[in-house]
Amino acid sequence: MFQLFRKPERKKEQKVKEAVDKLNRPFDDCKFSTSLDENMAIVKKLFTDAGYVRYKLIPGEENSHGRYFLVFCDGVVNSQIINDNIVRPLMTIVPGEGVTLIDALLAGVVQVGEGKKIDGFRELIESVTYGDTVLLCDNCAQAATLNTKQFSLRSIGEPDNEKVLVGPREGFTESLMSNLSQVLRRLRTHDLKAKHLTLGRRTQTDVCVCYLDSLADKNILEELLRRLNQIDIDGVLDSNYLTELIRDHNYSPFRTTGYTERPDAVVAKLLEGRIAVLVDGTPMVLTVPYLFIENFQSGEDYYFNFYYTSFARILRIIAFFMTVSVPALFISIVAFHQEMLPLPLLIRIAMERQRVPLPAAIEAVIMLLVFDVLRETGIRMPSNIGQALSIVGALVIGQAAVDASLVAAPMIIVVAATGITSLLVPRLNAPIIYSRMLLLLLASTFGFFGVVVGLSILLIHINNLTSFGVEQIAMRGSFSFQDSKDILIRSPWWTMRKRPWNLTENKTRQSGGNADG
Amino acid sequence: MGKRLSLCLMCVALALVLSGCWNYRSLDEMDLVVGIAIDFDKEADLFKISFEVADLMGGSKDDAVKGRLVESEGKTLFDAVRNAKKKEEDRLFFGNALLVSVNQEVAREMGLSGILEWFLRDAECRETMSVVLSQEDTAKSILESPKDSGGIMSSTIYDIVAEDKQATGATIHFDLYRLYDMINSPRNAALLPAIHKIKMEDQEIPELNGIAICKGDKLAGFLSAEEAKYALMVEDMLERGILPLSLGEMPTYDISLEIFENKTRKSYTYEQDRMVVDIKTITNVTLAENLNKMDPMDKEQVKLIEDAAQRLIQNSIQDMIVKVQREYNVDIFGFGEMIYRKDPMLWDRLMPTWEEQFPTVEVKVTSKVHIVNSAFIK
Repeated sequence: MFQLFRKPERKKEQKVKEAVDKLNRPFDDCKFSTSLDENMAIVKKLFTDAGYVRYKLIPGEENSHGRYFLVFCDGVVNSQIINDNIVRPLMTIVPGEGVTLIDALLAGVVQVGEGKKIDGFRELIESVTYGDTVLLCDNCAQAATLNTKQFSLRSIGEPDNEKVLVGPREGFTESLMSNLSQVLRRLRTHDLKAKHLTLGRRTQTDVCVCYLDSLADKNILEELLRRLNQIDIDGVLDSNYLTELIRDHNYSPFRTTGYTERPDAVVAKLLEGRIAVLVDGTPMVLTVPYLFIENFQSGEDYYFNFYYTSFARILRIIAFFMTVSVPALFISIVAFHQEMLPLPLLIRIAMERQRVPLPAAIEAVIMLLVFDVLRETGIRMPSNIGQALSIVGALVIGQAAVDASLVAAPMIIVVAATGITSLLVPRLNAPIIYSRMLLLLLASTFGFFGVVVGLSILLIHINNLTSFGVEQIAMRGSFSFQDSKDILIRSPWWTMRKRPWNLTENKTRQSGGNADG
Repeated sequence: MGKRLSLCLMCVALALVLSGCWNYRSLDEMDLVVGIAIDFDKEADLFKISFEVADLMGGSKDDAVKGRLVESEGKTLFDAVRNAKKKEEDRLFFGNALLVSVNQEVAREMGLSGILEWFLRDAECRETMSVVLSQEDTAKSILESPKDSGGIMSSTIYDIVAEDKQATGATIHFDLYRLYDMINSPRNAALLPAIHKIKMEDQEIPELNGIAICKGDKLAGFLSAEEAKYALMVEDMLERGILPLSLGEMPTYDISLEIFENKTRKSYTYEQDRMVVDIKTITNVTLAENLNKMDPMDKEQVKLIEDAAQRLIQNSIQDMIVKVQREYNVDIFGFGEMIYRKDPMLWDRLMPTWEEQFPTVEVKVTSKVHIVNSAFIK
């Protein structure tokens, strides 16, 4: 039954794809011709009605130079560079000798740090739309792309979803280069490799795979690149698109790739031997492979005292267990196994239940749904109304429901406990909702037996999870202390001498007095 | 793959439909029974059973929960239980029942083992319920709560009985399954707490009144609350208690010793057709109350007190055992069982005539009392 959660085979219809491609991109494989007029005509035809594209034709002068044609997009270029470093030299300086005119221009005339030769319209389109300026000239079948990028970007601030109390507050922004620069600044080593890919047929999104050469597992890297290269999709707007296309266990609600918005977290993971995937246009960075315990870890754990963070980590694990099973346990005790409760408690709960019209199981389902609705409302609304609404909603509606004898008070307490513990583990949002409902259904039907069956299903499923071939929970026969130093508790840094065994071959993290490994 | 998924879903749906919500019991359809009183009406030849049920409807959230008596009658116990549904809206639920109160007449004439056996056999009842004997006319009367007081009477009586050996040692308390075992073992006797009612400020409340002795499963006699303490000692079940002593010439009691540990060892010898049982008790006490104003630091005086206490314990145990042998002839402490445990062949020989032999068993008691500390003030 668990084969349902394995990655399905994709069937590709090659011919249909090619035909569609031909329709979408008419001049894709065309190369430049030597006639500037022809090239100009094709470019103008390509960008008909694209009002953001600008053209500049520099007319030729008899004794110095021929005609030059510049294509760029307003809004993503730095006009000053174009004016000072491209147009002015082109107008004034005579190109020297070179293999081709373009070589000569790049070598001596154009004063831009980064220039490349291109020979097809596809590259022209990609460059122009990303902020480069393309230079075409007479009698040349090649063109030059010059780097004149200037985007307006969000300034670097603290990510909203991963706030910390102590520690660095920088977060990623939407530009790949800026994000990469933040990682680079923290890892000043030649070991940091970044492989560039372009994914998404229409968006041509830049994707960068980063890793530390001496630490990352090459098998995982190869597998990752293979899967990324297999992606065939319209557009990639966010790293989540990639996650869903390359993950193991396509139907499981549990995560198999990590995501983070903070550069220090990414660098920490790179140092453990993981591989990071940065996607242009989104601040979310994927990290691969992903272990189950990462659902409960937060970067902040390492900036606080290890006693406190060990306690916090254990609390999160308990919270996960509680939020999934508390409604189910309550229903199974109250409806099936009343003898489990001591008499005074049972009497109190029974007194509450006398006044209420609905059976306990249905009440639990309704109240859980109501709580989820309130929570979503609180997130989506603008901040000032949202906070008041959640508080008002929770307190007033809950109180009113109890007073009107529609809902029993113990149920409100159970639902509140469930909801609040679910906020402790935000990364497990999706699996929690479904597991909770599954357990509740099983408990309402079969009592404790159902709860045990449901928990077994969950446990077996979680045990089978892999992330790029690495088991998310490694239940090997032996259990060594080294393996658990960062799992249930957070051991202080002076004890963590080795890296996680299953992520990298290179195990020694630090050599203290006695270096081992 | 889609086929597999739909097949799995169909199996799950089938399982749900075929088994249904088996065993779903809603709390608002249940009457929580806390105590059961068993009486027998001889003229009608019917069991009259009263159930003390937690009263869930009455009262606000702030008051204590009251108990409510539900009465029912039937030809047998289970018949009476089911007949209660004739006038009750909810079904009786025995999962949290604490107490069974038995009428003395029922115990004397019908015996306990039938009743105990029904409670053990029923899946819903707990095997650790307490069984008490009512010394009033009916078992029901001790479950009737006095007016204007909250609380469930069965729960109160259960607390009194269960915590007794840690407080006063006025009775001996066994769980229901142990009582049943005792009746069916070679000991063939049962010991129950006995409850009677006393008048206090124009109300009648139940009070613990010693031990009820059953020969086999039928009631044979009673031991007082004082004697119960020594019975507990012989059984090695005493945890706490008070020994009041009188040191002076006058019979007024002026010293209290608080027992905080007691160990008893029993052994026997059987020679020349006579059984001699040796009971050794070692008791650690503290000097708790000293109305005589004697000096607790004086070793001589301490020895005096210890000797007096030892004499008290030895004599009391001896008297109590003699009373049991002569008056009731019930082997409540399992002397026969001691022989059975060590020498089953001998027991096989003695068993047919044990009733005649039991009163001739000689019992020797030696006690040691240590006064551990005295917490004296100047």
